[in-house]
Amino acid sequence: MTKSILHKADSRGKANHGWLQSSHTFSFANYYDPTRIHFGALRVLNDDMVKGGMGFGQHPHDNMEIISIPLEGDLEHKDSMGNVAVIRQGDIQVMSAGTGIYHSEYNHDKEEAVKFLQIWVFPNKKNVTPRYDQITLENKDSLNQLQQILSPNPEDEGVWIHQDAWFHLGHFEAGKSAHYPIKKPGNGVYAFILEGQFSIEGYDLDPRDGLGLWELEGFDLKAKSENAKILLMEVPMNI
Amino acid sequence: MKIQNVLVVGKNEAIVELLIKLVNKYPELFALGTCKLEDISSICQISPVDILLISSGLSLNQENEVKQLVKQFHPNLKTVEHFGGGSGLLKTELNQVLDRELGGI
Repeated sequence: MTKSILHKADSRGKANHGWLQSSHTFSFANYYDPTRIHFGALRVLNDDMVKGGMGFGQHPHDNMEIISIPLEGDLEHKDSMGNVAVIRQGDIQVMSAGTGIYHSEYNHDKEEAVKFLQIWVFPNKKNVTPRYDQITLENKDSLNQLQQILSPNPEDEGVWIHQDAWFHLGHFEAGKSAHYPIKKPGNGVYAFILEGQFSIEGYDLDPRDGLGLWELEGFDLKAKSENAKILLMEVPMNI
Repeated sequence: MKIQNVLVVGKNEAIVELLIKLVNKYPELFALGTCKLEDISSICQISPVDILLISSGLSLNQENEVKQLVKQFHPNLKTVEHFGGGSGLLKTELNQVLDRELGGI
């Protein structure tokens, strides 16, 4: 029987540093809730807003698969591997931190805020060689369907990471629905509502709500409003 | 308040240094660390170690060797495997280990 956990948007941990406002679905920095540490291999889901011209100075990471998805505005990235890039709405960026990487992230715009998701997934292999990649997604590929944006396979659609994880984005009109089949038995799916309302497994979900589902073979989702956007993150439950 | 002594071990010098700095910000904790596995025995002989904080770069075998070695000197050792390189996860990782005794940090 399918198991589930609902995290309503307003139950998330909050951080307000003036230049940075963040909502943490799972325990992060000063937000600590022992019942909300991770969902399987999904360890961090931060919903960040950075003021114009501000950002995260150079800092290290190791042994983590880090995915950034800009929702509004542009984010400037520099790292110790020599990558300098601007990621924009419609792009997806991935870093395998592995043995260690330094990077900085700044709002590319001096005036407008940038909003983005920062997602961290435990790797299935420690101490890999650090790597960086980014791609631009085709918006039409997610209209009324689920578009794969991440997988474990370098040859597959989207970016890839060192984990048996698959991410999909969907942009639905009201009343449209889709079925998501689990890619790897035993995995769970964390659904995060970006905009609008959805119905999944009997739950009515609003923007920024999160729903974790596991011990299932697949599920149906239905958009309950216009311009409804969803991110599905399938991850191993045993880490 | 009993100070908990933390030994940070990893291969990335900059990250180990950062972790020591971050751990030492907590009044309940005192950290020292090394990137040289051959130094661990001598550190353990002169310093108490309550928590072993494993950073990046160690193979599985090396991790197990380090854990066993430190445990020989300090049998009540608690181990924290750190992910993220001195990131926002550190406090949660330490809290999970310290929750029972100290109610977290």
